[in-house]
Amino acid sequence: MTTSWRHPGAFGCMIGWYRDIASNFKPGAFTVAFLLLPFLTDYLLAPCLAQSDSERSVLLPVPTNLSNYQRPFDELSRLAQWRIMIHGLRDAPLDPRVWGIRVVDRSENRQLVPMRPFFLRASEQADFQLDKVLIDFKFRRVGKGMMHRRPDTYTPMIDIGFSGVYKKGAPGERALKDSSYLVRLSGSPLFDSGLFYSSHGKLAPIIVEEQLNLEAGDNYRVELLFDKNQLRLLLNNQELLVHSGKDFRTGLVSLTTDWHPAKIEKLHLTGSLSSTGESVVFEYSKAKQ
Amino acid sequence: MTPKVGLLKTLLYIIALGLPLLVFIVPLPIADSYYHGWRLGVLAFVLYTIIGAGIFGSFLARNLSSETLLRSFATTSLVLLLLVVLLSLFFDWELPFALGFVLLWFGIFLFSLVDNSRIRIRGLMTFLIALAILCSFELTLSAIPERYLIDQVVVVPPLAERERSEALYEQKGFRGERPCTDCSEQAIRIFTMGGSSTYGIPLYYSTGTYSSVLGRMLEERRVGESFEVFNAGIAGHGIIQVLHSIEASIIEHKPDIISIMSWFNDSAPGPGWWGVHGKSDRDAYIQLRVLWTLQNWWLYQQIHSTRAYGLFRFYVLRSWEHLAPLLSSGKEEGKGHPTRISPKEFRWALEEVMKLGKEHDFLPVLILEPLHRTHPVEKMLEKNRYYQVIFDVSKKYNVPLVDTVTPMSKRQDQWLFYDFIHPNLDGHRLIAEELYDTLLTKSKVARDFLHSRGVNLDLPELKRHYHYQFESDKLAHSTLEFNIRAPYLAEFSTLLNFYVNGEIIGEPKTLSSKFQQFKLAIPEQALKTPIVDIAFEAGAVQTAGMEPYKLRDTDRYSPVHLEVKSGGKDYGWTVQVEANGKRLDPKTRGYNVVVLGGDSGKYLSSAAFDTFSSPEQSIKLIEYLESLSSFTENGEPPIVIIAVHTDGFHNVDSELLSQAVEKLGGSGKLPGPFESYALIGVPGAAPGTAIEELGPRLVELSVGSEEITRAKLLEVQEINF
Repeated sequence: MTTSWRHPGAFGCMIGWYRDIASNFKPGAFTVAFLLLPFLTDYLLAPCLAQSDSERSVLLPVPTNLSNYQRPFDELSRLAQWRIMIHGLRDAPLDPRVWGIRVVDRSENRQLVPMRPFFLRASEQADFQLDKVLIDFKFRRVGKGMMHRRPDTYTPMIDIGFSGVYKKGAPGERALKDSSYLVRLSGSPLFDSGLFYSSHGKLAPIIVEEQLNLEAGDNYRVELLFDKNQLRLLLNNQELLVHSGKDFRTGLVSLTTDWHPAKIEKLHLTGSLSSTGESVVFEYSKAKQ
Repeated sequence: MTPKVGLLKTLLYIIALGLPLLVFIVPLPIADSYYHGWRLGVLAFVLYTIIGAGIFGSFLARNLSSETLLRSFATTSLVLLLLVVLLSLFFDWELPFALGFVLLWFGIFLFSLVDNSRIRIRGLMTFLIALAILCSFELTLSAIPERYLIDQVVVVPPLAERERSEALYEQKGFRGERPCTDCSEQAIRIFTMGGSSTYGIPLYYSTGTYSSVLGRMLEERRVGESFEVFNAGIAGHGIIQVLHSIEASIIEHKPDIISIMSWFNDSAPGPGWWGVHGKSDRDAYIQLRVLWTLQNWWLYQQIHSTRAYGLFRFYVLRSWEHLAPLLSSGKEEGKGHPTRISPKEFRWALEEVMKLGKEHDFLPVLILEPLHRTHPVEKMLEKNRYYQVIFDVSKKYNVPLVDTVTPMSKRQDQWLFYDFIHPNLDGHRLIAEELYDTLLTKSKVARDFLHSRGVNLDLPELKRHYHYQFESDKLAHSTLEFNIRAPYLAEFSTLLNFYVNGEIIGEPKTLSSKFQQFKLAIPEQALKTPIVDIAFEAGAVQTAGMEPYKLRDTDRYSPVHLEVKSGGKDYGWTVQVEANGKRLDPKTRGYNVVVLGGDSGKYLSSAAFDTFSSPEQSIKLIEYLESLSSFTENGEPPIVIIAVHTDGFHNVDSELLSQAVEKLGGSGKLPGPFESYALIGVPGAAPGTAIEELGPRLVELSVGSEEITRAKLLEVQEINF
């Protein structure tokens, strides 16, 4: 089945509930329940379902078979290892329970690992607030000459997206809304690093920071610290970028790297659920690593 | 006792002429039932007759000087013949008969070698006799039932494998779209050809490919004209395979325009598509063309399908294949061609396509296949020799060139690809826009060609939805000005809505069929972000009567104009669900379901269930339909549209599905094998009240008015941007 909408199967739930009533209640209660049922369905249940539909995930669901993730990477067959490796960025597999791709970005993997943004599933929740992103990483070493000659293949780049909004459009049509703020860290002399705003893929620079241009092959630690109306960026513990004026904590959080691989050693995100005050931490699940 | 010459002569005559006649006439029908032995039988009979006459002549010429030998030979022959006849009484007779016959003629062959110095045509006779023995041998093998022979001898492998893209087109058709059988003859057929970038790898849904996007653009913008766009891309194809596919598969579909996007695969290291080491794709192709032609020859097919050749192939040729690598130095095997084809060969192939275009009256259109984060086209031209060839050929043959590199390079910092070469959805959309613009605006050649095909180029460019992106700094201090009209407005009126960052701003403006000037100043509060998305579209159409929008007896009205089409395998082989002219179906075999909001008519969901492939899909379809019954939009149940593509009969749980369809207002009747079926219903409607049609014909349903849909098409002139 190919579908762009997954319903929770409310009809089945209703039938089950109806049967429970019929088997446990006496005839009088049954009659009352029978009369109440349409009311409940039309005025209570249906609006709830409609609302849940409008808030439905734009991400592909978590795969049902996660047995590969329960076992040590080295004990897996080559095929199982490959299945883990293809879910994520190049050279950096991501836990499908934590990270997912949009339905619209769904692709056949075959032998290649497509470049596409991976979204933090928790960030789809309206009450999720991102507090901190920490990534230890390095780009595979490559010369500047190659970056100039072959930007198609040799562009070291990582985009950390946040405060994203996505509203899907009709099949085959562009999204109604697809925007995000992102911090771009580029190791290529062809592309700037800094803070950008992206709308339907188009980028507008907010702050371009030369000190954020990286060297392929070197180890880096980038930290993004979100406070109310302020964003701070630290590279190797040195504060290089501060931006104020907007609350960046809510909205979709994403990661994207280019075809030139970035090896991620540590990925640590912390956030909280504003409705409950509960803190959440996402550690990099590298499977084998 | 010396036998009388007369008797001996008679016996020899019988052996030389009579036996072949008997031997071949009798087993012919039997051999033919196993194999095609009769042709060989006739051939062998003719040969034997000639040989027999020659031998008989030689006997006369030599005055029977070898009487003893002849006597023993004749005696042996008679004994063998008798033995054959006796054996054939007890066994599967044609086999021993044929074996005996081989022995008989082997004896004759020996005899001819013993003392035939006076025969002037000895060499020819020997050849003919050898051929006759071979024919006998083949007949013998033919008589052996297939089950006793190894497969490699019985199954005749082709000399050269059939080009696999031909089989792919035959089995799977084109990606996402099949040639429709109910389209008008005037429909313009566009084929997009190339490798995986054209096919759309790794896109999961075909609707995102530039071919599909182009199709939708043409559907929406070219009102009243008919276009069909087919994605004929095949992963791995280079220009040589494109050339072959055009000749072998595409021409028969009567293309009007063939766009070709290829160079990357051609520049890949060899061995190429056919895996021939040390040869370019072009050389391999030329070699293969010879083999393809050769294996279609009648004589070749006759020889190759013999079992004698099968044995030769299996025991001799196959052995040689194993032996050859051992005897060779090993250098050849590892030696590949540097690229699949050189730029020179690339030019040759492109020119061949140009010739085909003239011969078969189609317009070739060349597309520059872009790379991820590509440099500008000027720079790419300096270093990419394939690009240079494409430019040269397009100039030389005056065919349209689609420069996708320039728009891609302007967006070099964006994510337009899945990897270094395969575009993502945005990349495909960009290619489609450039292709559309080239065909209908930029290229005079393309415009003239389309004009000659009946396309009205005076029609304005129309869209339902315009989308712009600006730097906010610019917008903050300026006012945008447009001239906008809805040329199809007549007895209706429509409203124009402006969106900034996805939110409607200001009051809707009333449109007319004449141009009106609109000014748009972006309010400060909308300038929250560095980029401002600005969009506008025609909103609701105000119409006097809603009766055409009524959903038959369901007491419900559709907020939008609907067009639904379903074609079973032999009845159009198609599916189409359009709401206000926008296509929404997943274009997939089986049940296509589209769900629209009952209040707004907006698209909510779609799903496809290929029930033809498995019964599980039928269960999922029923679950999906059941789940819709509890869904509402502002208290209104949704509008559910079902349309079957190809087949909705096989693997379907008819009882459960009937019940599910009845809950949508359907009659509960389901389509037969490969029949069409379409329904526009509402969850909760009484059975039989929905709009529904099915049967062995192309089914088309319509709700509302196409005129009103057209009324929402806009023409925009940008004045101050």
